Amino acid sequence: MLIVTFLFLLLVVTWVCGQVSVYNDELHFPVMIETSTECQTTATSNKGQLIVFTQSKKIAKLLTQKLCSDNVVAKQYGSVKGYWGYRTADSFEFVGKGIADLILAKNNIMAAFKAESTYNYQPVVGFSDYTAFFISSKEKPRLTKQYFLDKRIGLLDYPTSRSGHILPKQTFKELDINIANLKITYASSHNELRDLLANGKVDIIASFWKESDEKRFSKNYITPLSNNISGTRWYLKMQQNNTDLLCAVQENLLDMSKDQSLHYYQNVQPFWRCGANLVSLKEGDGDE
Amino acid sequence: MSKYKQLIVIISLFFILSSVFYISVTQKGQQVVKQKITQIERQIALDLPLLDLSNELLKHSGNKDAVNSYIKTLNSYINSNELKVVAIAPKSEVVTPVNSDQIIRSLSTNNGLVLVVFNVQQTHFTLSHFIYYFIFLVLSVLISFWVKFAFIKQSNKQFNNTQHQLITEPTPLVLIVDLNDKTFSSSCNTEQKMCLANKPLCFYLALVEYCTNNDDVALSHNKDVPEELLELANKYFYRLVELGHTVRKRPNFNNSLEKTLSEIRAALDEVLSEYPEEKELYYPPKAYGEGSRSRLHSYGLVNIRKGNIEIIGK
Repeated sequence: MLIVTFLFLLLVVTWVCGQVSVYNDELHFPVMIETSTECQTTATSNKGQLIVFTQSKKIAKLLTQKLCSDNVVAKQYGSVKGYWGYRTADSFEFVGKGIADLILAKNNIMAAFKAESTYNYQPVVGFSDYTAFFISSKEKPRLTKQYFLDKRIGLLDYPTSRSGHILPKQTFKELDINIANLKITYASSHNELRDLLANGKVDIIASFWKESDEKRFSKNYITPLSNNISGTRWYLKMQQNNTDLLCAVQENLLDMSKDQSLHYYQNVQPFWRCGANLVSLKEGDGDE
Repeated sequence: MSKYKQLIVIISLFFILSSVFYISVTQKGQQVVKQKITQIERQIALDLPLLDLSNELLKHSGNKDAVNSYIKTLNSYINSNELKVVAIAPKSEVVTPVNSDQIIRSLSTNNGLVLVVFNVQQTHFTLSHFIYYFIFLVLSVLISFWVKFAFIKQSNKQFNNTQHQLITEPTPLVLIVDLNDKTFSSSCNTEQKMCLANKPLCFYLALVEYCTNNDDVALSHNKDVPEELLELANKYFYRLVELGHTVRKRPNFNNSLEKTLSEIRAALDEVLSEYPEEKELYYPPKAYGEGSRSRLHSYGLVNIRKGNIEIIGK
């Protein structure tokens, strides 16, 4: 009787052991997808916040840190917060509502929201103008209707891209091609477009040309669509005539571009001439 | 309990304990996985608006790298080999053939179904589980010894009980007469045998049989031995002849009756010396004192019954 009771208890204990032996920890997730970074300037009691927006997480973090350690920024702001967003809709919010103090944007977006007149966004530095191309791997693309009709074409999926979306579609319209009849594959980035072309998934892509492309494609097989697409620019919201901040931001942006790995991003032009007493817009660099 | 039996006890105990443990671990493991999947699902649902998934309607191709790095971060927080998120994708994009290790959960969003593919791999044999199995083995051995000990104790107790019963209720004593070697012995002590001559042996057996058949007959010394008794005696004598014990002629059982009885009594005295209370049953009554050879005295065995005596070689 004692043994039977003991064995029964032992079975119960065994079951409990089995239950206990399985490691059961509650999963706790932090904020999984960060969309911002914040840092304090030396003026910790100042509640003012400088808001920066860019598409790239890396640049947002870098620039935020740079601005935090800047003396001029510290005189005016207590902290700098850098936001980033992969989606085009995010930048619309920041520009359209004038939330961002400093934003990296294309001038077509600025123009669409008339942000330069509503919030007085002023270009600070800009990347060099570039040319949009149709790039093929096998032959030089011809800009005729017949040529495009049986081709597979790779475009960018964000409608704000000029070289990868707007200009090629404009060209199709000019050639009187119904876009619905084209075999278009969309990609989310210029690099992805290049992969599509290199892997033979598409016959033609629309993009800009960069030096490293020569390793994968031939410079002979590119056809320019349009010259002088103005590059992306950094805009500063200038609701006051805050020239000190303007010059400090310009200096930081120029400084940052030197560290960029891509040649295109190293090549930036400042829009302002920051003298000892006089700050003026450079000639010939006005908006298109 | 033999070693063989003990081994069986050990093995079956170990088997039972292990299987209970195994079932418990499996059950708990499944429960934990289910719970974790729910938690992960909730987190993915929270992050879904920020995940760059493709969208067919908006011709948005999505950012696969961002989604993959999200999955990687997610898995690093799950931090388990048993459960991993493999893919998060809109329904139209999931084309991977789902194998048995994979679980698919779907999240309904305004843009259609988003499927989350989990990879579940249950591991039953971790180091800690092996330690448990080892403990079960040791326990099984210990318990088997305990069972063995208890078993021995119990059987001892039972043995004692039966012995006790033997003492309180002894099996009735039986007088054994073996015609093959012409001996008397008792069932309590078959080793001690007493030899008897042909005449007393045959007469005693005849007397026993006669008295069994005729309960209330009085056998007196003054009278002749009854014919029936003589016939029985002769019958036993012929049986002895058949068994090859004698070549001599048949004795006269009527003669020297008292001497024959004395020889019988002497033999019984010897065989039943340790059981004096039983002697009365088998002992032809003696006449005591004066007038002992009176008419009233009977040397018949009054109380003898079938079964009190066992004749071998009859």
